[in-house]
Amino acid sequence: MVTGTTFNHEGRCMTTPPFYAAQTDTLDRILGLKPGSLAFDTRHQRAKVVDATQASEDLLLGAPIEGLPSSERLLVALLACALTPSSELREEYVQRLHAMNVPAPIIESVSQGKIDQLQDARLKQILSFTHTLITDPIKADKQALLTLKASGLTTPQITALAQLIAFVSYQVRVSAGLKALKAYGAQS
Amino acid sequence: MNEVIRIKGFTNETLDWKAWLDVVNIDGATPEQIEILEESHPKAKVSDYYLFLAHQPEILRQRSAAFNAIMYAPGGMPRAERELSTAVVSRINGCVYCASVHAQRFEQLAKRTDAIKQVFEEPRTAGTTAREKAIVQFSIELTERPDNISAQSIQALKDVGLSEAEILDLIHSVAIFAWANRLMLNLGEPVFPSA
Repeated sequence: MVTGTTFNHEGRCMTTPPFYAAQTDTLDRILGLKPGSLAFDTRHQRAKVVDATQASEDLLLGAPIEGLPSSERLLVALLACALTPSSELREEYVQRLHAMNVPAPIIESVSQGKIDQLQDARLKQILSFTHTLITDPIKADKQALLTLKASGLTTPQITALAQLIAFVSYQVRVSAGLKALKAYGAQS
Repeated sequence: MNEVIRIKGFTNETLDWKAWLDVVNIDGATPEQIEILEESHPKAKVSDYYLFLAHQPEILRQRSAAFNAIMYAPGGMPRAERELSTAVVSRINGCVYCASVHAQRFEQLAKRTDAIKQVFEEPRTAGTTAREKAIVQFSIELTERPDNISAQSIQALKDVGLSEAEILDLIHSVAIFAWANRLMLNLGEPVFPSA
């Protein structure tokens, strides 16, 4: 836990809450948002959102979830970013997967949205569910959940998976908005 | 709610929602699950949606923290406009349940339904003022093509008078409904009031 003090662009002092740590905030890091810039200072006026966004990512991608290995969850996040698309977050999740020693051909296939080539039937099932929910959420149906159950996932695991896919849909849009705010700040 | 709106499968009526898989039984819930349900929503303990998400209580806690901070925080973009943007996102994603809830909230806050009727009829041209139209356009663009959002998209909002703090609230509102719609569409279905 880190506390810090920053100043917004009007020179007002803002004390950041105890959870925020610049080195561990994914979006600030990958977008290169720095205190004193319009995008950073605007973003951090909603400190609770910054904290809950990072805490959600940490729970969904970092923390242990019984029966859903971290590498599998990162592949879900990678596919979601590849399809949306979000180049910054895609690169981030590719790097994390390499760091976990996930075989490079699997990372490469998922990163290109090519899930038909994968051998692992369960992973394919999970990624095909991800594909529908990212690209055409209205097509999600009860049968898709029953298929996941038949692949051996429990309801708590399906809950975590649905939250993960939905969270990444959120994260890519926050990222896109902040990136645009950064570009706007640089030219104004 | 005074006037019932039913346009193209969307409505401002109060709908119920039914889960497609087993939800947490409140009588067997852990103290942690109860606590998180209570901090998530006033009616969470009798809602299939929250009882489904309570299978992963810590994840629900952070989702609710983000959701409540985005939709209810004071200052920034007026809450009626946050509701308008979430109704647009829900209309684009086809989430009838979310659209009904946020149509009602818009009406409660703005004391009118005109913009919501337009959103249900044809979101791409909706908005009763230049400012509303810009908010609607940005909501659609960030929902459909987040990779296309640019400095010009921000400039278009500045041109109709939004401050940077308001633009941040708009980005967050649109993004949190990418999240909310996908849960609502994917874990169960709306139930319409019996005729």
